[in-house]
Formats: sequence, structure tokens, C-alpha cells
Amino acid sequence: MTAASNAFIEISGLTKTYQVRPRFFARSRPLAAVAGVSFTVEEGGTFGLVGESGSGKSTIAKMLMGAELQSGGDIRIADRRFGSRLSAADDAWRRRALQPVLQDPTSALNPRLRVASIVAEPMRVQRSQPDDAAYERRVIELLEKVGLTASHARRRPSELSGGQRQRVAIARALALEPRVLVLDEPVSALDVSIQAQVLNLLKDLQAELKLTYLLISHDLAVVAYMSSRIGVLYLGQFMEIGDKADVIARPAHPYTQALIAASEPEHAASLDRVMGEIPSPLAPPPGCPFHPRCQQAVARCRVDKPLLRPIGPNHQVACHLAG
Amino acid sequence: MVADALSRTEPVTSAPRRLPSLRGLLRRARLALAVSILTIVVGGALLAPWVAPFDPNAMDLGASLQPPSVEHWFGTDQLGRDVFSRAIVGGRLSLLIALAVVTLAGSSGTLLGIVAGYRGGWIDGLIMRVADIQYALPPVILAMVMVGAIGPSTTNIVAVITLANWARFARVIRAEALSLRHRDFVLLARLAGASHLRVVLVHILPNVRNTLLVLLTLDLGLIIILEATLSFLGLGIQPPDPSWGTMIADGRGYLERAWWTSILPGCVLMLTVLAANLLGDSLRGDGGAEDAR
Amino acid sequence: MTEILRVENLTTRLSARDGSAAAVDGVSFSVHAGRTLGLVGESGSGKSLTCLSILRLLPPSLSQAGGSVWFKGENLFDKSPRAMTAIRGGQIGMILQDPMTSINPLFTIGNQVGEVFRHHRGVSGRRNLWAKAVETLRRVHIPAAEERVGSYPHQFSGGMRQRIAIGMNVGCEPDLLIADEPTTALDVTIRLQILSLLREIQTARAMAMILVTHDLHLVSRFCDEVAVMYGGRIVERGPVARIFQNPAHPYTKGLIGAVPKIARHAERLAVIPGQPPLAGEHGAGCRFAPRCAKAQPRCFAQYPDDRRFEDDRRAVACWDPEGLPS
Repeated sequence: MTAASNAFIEISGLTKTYQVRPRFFARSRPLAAVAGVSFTVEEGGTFGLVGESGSGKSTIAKMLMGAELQSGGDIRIADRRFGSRLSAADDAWRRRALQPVLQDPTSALNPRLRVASIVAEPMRVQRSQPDDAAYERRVIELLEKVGLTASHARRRPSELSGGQRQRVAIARALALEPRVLVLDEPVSALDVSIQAQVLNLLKDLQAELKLTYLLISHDLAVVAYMSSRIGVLYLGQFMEIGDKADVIARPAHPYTQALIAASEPEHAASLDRVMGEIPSPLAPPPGCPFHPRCQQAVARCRVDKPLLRPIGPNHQVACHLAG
Repeated sequence: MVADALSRTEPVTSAPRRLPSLRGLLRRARLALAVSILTIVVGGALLAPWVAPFDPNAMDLGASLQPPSVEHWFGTDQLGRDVFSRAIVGGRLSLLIALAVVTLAGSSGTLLGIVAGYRGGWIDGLIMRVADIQYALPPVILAMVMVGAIGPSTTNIVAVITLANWARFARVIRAEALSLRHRDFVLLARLAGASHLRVVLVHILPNVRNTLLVLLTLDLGLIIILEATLSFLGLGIQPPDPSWGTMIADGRGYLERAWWTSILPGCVLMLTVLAANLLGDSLRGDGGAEDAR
Repeated sequence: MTEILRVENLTTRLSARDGSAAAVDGVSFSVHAGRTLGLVGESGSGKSLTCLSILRLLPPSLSQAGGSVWFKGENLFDKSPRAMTAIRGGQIGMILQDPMTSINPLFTIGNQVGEVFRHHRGVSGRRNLWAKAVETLRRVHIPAAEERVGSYPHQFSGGMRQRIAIGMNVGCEPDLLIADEPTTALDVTIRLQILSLLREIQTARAMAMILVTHDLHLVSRFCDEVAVMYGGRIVERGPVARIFQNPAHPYTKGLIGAVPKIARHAERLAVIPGQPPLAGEHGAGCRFAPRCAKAQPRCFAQYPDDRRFEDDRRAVACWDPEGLPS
């Protein structure tokens, strides 16, 4: 970890364990959705979490936003601790400072409300403006900030295209002047030409408003485009974490290499980099979680779980064979 | 991808004018028919004292069991009372009861359904088990027990039919609330710090409104029939006050000689229920179209 | 190279709205044995409707308007519904994004795969059908096929279900396979496995394939030819390598620029402004004109004819295409 003093978000040893019943009569078993994850995000930076289904990336976002309580580990944002015992002041601070943007803008916007009410909701709930006229002014200001116009305020979500809906969701997230946006697959429901528009908008807003981003995506290309640091998650653990330049240009973990090949298969020499399927998190393999699918796996990988170890100044990898 | 491609064909910003299709015309005609029948029946009931040509309880034993004529449109019953006037006034009481029940059962059922679906957990379990018990209890038996215990009165009928009908609302609304609870806009509202009350009022209720409207109109018909059944069995509205149920009951002894005493009030009842159902169906169709957009 | 499918001037109208423009408008292309055509476009571009039209699987609210679909020399639009049923699943296979649309959750996999052979190949006898099912599962590389053939669909992962759907659709050795976004719902690492499987099957039988997708990366790796659709029209088509190297239509160029790339990292993505048109809602001119930086008055007035170049191997529908000797 870069123990940099400007770490705005500091997450250490974060775990989330659910008790699940695999079958109706079966005894409930622990499912480790997130198993000891540590990373920091510097102020104004973007940390990209990349992973496939079951990697725990959305669970991390939920814990950060306070929608789920961690089973263990520490979340610190701007030197405030967020754990099971939470002061009302910290909770209220997080509600304003941290705002989510979710994957599906259709589900994120109440179909019965007009855009103006949707964007104004966080402000109304927090009573951040003195009167109705002020709310109205602020809504229009926010809509213009995300590339919409005042005329969109009177529309309902059904009268907007997918890209416009995601812009409304972003405007709403900006309503309380947050410091952090948690972007959970913000463009994966959008068309290719619209994805680029929204990604560029997010970049512009970050520069203009000095926002810190936690970006979650299954798409390594999107993560690479947006992030300054990248963490590659697999079954709730980091396989590799480091500065973008290192992770993308010198991927050390076989899983990262496979993800890069899968994201841009036109450049990949071989297509069969990864064998089989993602194991159930209910029965994670012993040793390295990735070994059953890894072509380079050796005997040691099956028994000995590799820990994250530094292989460069800002680059860590959890693989026996790397470096 | 297929569904996506199809759904994107729906108009989004500016729908081009389209010619009404035959199916659309039929649907509109059905809606118009339903509304006009209900308007006539409700209007007649509201204005009964002015509309009814005769005093509904005025007996004229000399003119008993007369067939429909220019003077007595629906004929007269065994006591010489004008069946048409009684049907109008009877509708008044029947509709009043139906309206009271729909309001009471609708609001209590909706409230319980939202609490169950949105809250979940043991409260959900409790409410739904009570609803199951209510479902298992035939309303007529429930009415016999209740009326036997506290005696027949309009208030009691309303209470009994409400008890027999809240569960349907609760069930349907619960299912809707349950799926709405998992929508992202509810999560986002909670994360923004919105209270449960605000979430229910702003995010849940408006989204179950269409379903509720359809349920209310469809239930109206069922409730009118249930009230008539109870009155028919002597558990509902008591003579000499007319109601559709008691009129059908009173006339059944004279069916061979004077069919109009039972059949014609029965027709009014049937038309009213049919219109309520048609209205519900039309609303359901429109509501669906609106949601799909 | 044998031509398997030739689509000529295919036009599909949305009948619900009279007088509206066609959702698929004058689409023409052909697919050859052993080759893959990538049909690329955004939502509402008409790429899925094109496939449904070819197979005559359109929902009742849409109606066929015109054109012809020549499959091995016969026009599919002249076939009886009964003959079409035999062709679908027999000579033409179709794979959709969600495999569960073609798999029934209530029956075992063995039952359903066997059913395909009973229906299309006249195989009979429980044991024979079962053996065919096991063989099919092996062919799509499902581990422990003998044991898993008796399992139900929910006992398989999404990737395995897609394998099964592929097995059911290629079991009868079709001459053409239409795959509509077959990997969109799958995890990144599983996508390549599925596409490799499709390619393996294709190579073994010289099957022609149409791959419908929005993912340009997949097209550049797995397709030989590409047809780019926009607003119900094919705006550009030709060999994949040529088009990716040197796109002629501004939309193709914009689309390629809008995809973030891992290695060649740009500070800003090139953006196509505006929104794609809704199916069947556009003027008489070029569908892309409202979003095109180079648009001139005539682009709005009249739809450009196909211009063929590079020995007729490429075609572009643009008044002012890029990098073309005029």
C-alpha cells in the first residue's frame, strides 16, 4: 500500500461474509464475498476495481456507501472511521460526501417522478436549499452541468434515452456537492457511442469539481481509461494492484493477463488463456484461488495461498510465479 | 437484444400521429360503454328520490304482479310496488355499501400489503398468514357468524364484506411493493437519507397506483355480488328497504308467474358488475401500456 | 467459396405505425461457407430485426414488407411456414443472448438435446437419443458429459448453458448459424471460450455464421466480414481487417474511436455527439447526418447510394466517404 498522506479513502483488511444455505435443508455455510481487501484512493484520483461476477466488487461499493456493514476490516474516508458503531455526524457526512451512480439508470430513476424531483430528492431529504425557487435553480444548474437542458427537468424517465437517464442519475449524485462518486458499472448498460460520451463527462466533472472516484467495472478497457490505480479482484481478493501504467503495461498476474487478452482479443496470441469457469465462492479452491483456471499453475499453487507482495514501487501481485 | 430492439421501437420523445387501429377503437368503445352504464346506474342511485317514478315502498295490493308496461317499466311485485323504482333505490344502497367496502378494504389492504412487502421479515409473515386464514374462510359463513352474533345492519354488512376482501388487496400490493423495494431508486433514496415514510409515499405508492386502480374496479363487481348474496340470504339489507339482493330473493317465489320481479333487478345487477369489470380491464390495458414505455 | 445466404434488399416495416419508415431498410449482404459475417450496430439499429426477418420469426406486431432471402439458392420468403420450421433448427441454427430462451427449465438437458435429433433427424429410441445427447455435450466440451446429461438447466452455469444451446443448434449440422449477442451476458473470460468453441465447430464443418454484436473487439478477432448497421441500414461493409484499418463511413470511424482501448491509451475518447435514432424514426436522408460532423445539405435530403470500391469487396453508403479515390 502507498501509505501516502493524501489518501482520501483508506480501506484495510475489508471482509464481508454472508451465511448462506446452498439448499433448503442444508446447513448454512459462510460465503466470503470479500476476503481481506486493502487499498487507498488519493483525493481527486480514480481507483478502478475490475473483476468478473462473484469477485465482490459491488459488495465493496455497498460497504463503502453504508448500504452493507462490513464483517471485518476498516473503512476510513477523510480520516473518519466507518464501522459498526457510527456516529450520527459521520453518517450524515457520508450521505452527503459519498454519492453512488449505479449501472442501470432505468432502475435508478423512479418512473413516476419528473426529472426535476429525481434530481432534487437528495437535496430535499437533506433540506439543503432554503426555498422551492432555490431547488429549481439548483436542478437546472445540475442538469446543465451534465449536458442536459432545463427543458429536461419536466420530463419523466420514460421520455429520455438511456444515455440521458444516466446523465440524470449523475446530476442527482452531484446535487449535494459530494467529494466521492462510487461508480458501479456506470456505462455497461449503454450503447458504445453513448458510453464514450458518459465516460468523458465523468472525466470532465472530476477535473472541474475535484471529485474522487471509485470505479467498478467488469470492463478492463473502461477501467484503464478512467483510473490512476487499478485493483484486479478475483473471488473477493486482489490478484494484482498497482498504478495503471504498471498493471496494464506489465501485468504480472496470469489472471490480469487473461483479462487483458479477453478485453482485446484482437491482440491476443492465444485465446485459451483461462480454462474452466469461476468457482463458487461457497467452495473456494485451496491455495491460490485462481489456480484451477491457470495454465501456469505449479504444485505449490494448489496448497500455498500467495499473498500480495510488492514487485515494483506501486505494484503488488499475489502470485508465486510473478516477478 | 430482441426485446431491446422491440422496446426501443416505442415512441420516446415525439410520437408520430398514428391512425387508430380496429383493436384500439374496440377498446375505446368498450371503455365508453362501461363508463356510460356506470354513470347511468350511479346517477340514478344518487338522484333516486327525483328519478324514481314511484315511492319504492308504496304498496298497491290491487296492482300486484303486473307485467312491465308503459307505467311500470319493470312491472310490479307481489305487494304492488314499482320494481323499477325499487331497483333504482336498491342500487343506491348496494352501491353505497360497495363504495364503502372498496374504500375500507382497499386502503387497509394496501396499507398492510405495503407494510408486508416493504418491511418484510416477521411482520410480512404475520400479515400474510392472517390473509391466508381469511382466504380459507368462505365470506358467507363469516357473515352468518357475524350477523348471528351482532345482528344484521348496514354497518355490519360493510364490516363483513371488508373483512372478506382486504386480503386480495394486501396480497397483490405486497407483491408489487416487494419488487419495488429492490429497485435501485429505493436504495438511492435510503442512501440519501430518506425516511421509510418518504420512500413509501414518494417511491412505492405512486408505483402501485395503477395496479390499485384496476383492483378497485374489479373488486367493485365482486363486492356488489357478495352484498346481493348476503341480502338474498337475509343476512344483508333488511326489508322493507330494497336492495338488489333482497329484490331477487323476494321475487323468486313468483318466477313462473312474474319473472320480472327477480330477473329485471338481476339484469341491472349484472350490467353494473359487467361495467365495473370492463372498466377494470380497460384500465389494466392502459396501465400496462404506460408501464411498458 | 460457396455462397450460403444472400439477403437482397430486405425491408421490414413496423406495422403498428402506418406510414413510418422501415426499421430494416434495404439491407443486402451475403455469407459464405466457413466464413463469419459480423453484424454490428447499437440498440435500435435493426441488427436483431434483420436476423428475425431472415428466419421469419417476427413478432405479429411487425410485418414483412419486402426483399428476398436466398438460402442455398432458395428464397426463404417463398417457403411455407411448415418448411420454415424444418429449416430453423435443422439447416439454420440460432443462438440468442440468453440461452434460457431456447432451453426449457423443466426438462433434463439430455431430453431436450435428444428432442432436436428426434425432430430434425428422425432419430428414435430412448437409448439412441441419449447417446446423441451425450455426444453433443462432448462436442461442446462440457466436462463429464455422461453424468451431466441427466441434469436440469438450472444446475449449469450461464456459460455451460450457452454451450448447451450451441450444441442443440449445431447438432443437426446446420449450414448457417445466426448468433445474436451470444456472449453479452457472460463473464469476460467465458466469452472467449464460447467464441473459440463456435469457431472450432465452424471450421470443422465449413459452416457459415452471422455474429450479431455491439462489441467491435469480438468482430475484429472472430469475423471475416463486417456489416455496420445504423438506423436500419447497412452503412458500410467489407473485410474486417480493411474496415478497421481504414473505415470509410464517418459512423464506422466514430464507433471505432469511441471504444476505449487498453494499450493505446488516449487522454480523451473520440465522441459521436447526440443519440442514435429510434427504430424507424428518421428522415429521408442519411440516418447518421444529424450526428455527423461532415454532414452537408444533401446528406439530409437524400440517402446516399452504396459506393463499391477495393475491387467491389467493400461498400459504403456515404456522400463523402473517407479516404476514397473519387
